[in-house]
Amino acid sequence: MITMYLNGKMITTHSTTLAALVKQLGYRQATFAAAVNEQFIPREHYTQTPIKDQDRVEIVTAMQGG
Amino acid sequence: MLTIGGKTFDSRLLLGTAQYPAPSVLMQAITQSQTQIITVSLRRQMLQQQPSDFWQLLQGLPCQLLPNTAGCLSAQEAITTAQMARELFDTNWIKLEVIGDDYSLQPNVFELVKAAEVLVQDSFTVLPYCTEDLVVCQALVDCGCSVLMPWGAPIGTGRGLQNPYALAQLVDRFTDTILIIDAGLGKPSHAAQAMELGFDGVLLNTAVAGAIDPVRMAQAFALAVQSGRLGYEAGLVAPSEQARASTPFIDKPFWHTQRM
Repeated sequence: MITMYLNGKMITTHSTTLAALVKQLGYRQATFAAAVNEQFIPREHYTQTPIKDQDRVEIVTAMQGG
Repeated sequence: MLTIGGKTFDSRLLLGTAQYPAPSVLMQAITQSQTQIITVSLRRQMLQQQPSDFWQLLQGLPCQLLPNTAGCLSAQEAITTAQMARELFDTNWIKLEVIGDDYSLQPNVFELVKAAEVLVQDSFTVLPYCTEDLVVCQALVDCGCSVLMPWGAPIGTGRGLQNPYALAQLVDRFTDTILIIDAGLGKPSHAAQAMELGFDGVLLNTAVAGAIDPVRMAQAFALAVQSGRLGYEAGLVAPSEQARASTPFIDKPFWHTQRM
């Protein structure tokens, strides 16, 4: 079990890769993008991107904007 | 025609999608504005949140999407946001914003140029939100930006063109660069003024979304942009200090008659 930050909030998880984390959290459709520790992670790299203790993950989706 | 990133557009009005009272109003405003380029953003998706209605709305729109890096405070934040936007929206267009002040939302021009350089190298079509500072604009062009988007006034203030002299200088100096006024417009006449100065387009959001009737305001801005551009292309009369009668004096009755 590790402690990490998802969208600024501290959570605990057993997931050790970004792919596992995304699946565990229920993000199912390709309507989001992700960054780990302020670095963009392409979707095809999720399975080989490790998630470690204190990592900061951002998951974003489309929103209105000016 | 407006040409950006190898694509051509009939409309010179770019429209933001934020702050409309309802999605249906946004859709009608997009139609009435005749815009072909709309701005969108990226924001955190909460746990197990379903795809938003906005995502569904975007799928059916025949518009070029222009994702923004609104709210980014550093070059790195903006670069990462742009990369996420490219994957999510399937476009390499990016409205590059790096903000330097919470009150004025003025660009941090130092971080802006840093981010622009990296993103141009990474094959993005960068549309930088900048100030009217000539030196900053030159730095953006030097690092490969083919579009500049100087503000008219701070975002959302509706104050129009605060420094038309400096903006006119940009038109004179950057003849090979697409120039779009972005931010601070409030009235259709502001948009017309920008086009009369020689700008290639305007980008606005609050002026339409915040109007009492956004749909009619979108139409008003469409007409203003067309009118201003037509006036610019027709060749504007230069202002004069001296009055010049438009009706000739020749054969005016009572000419040389003694006053009683």
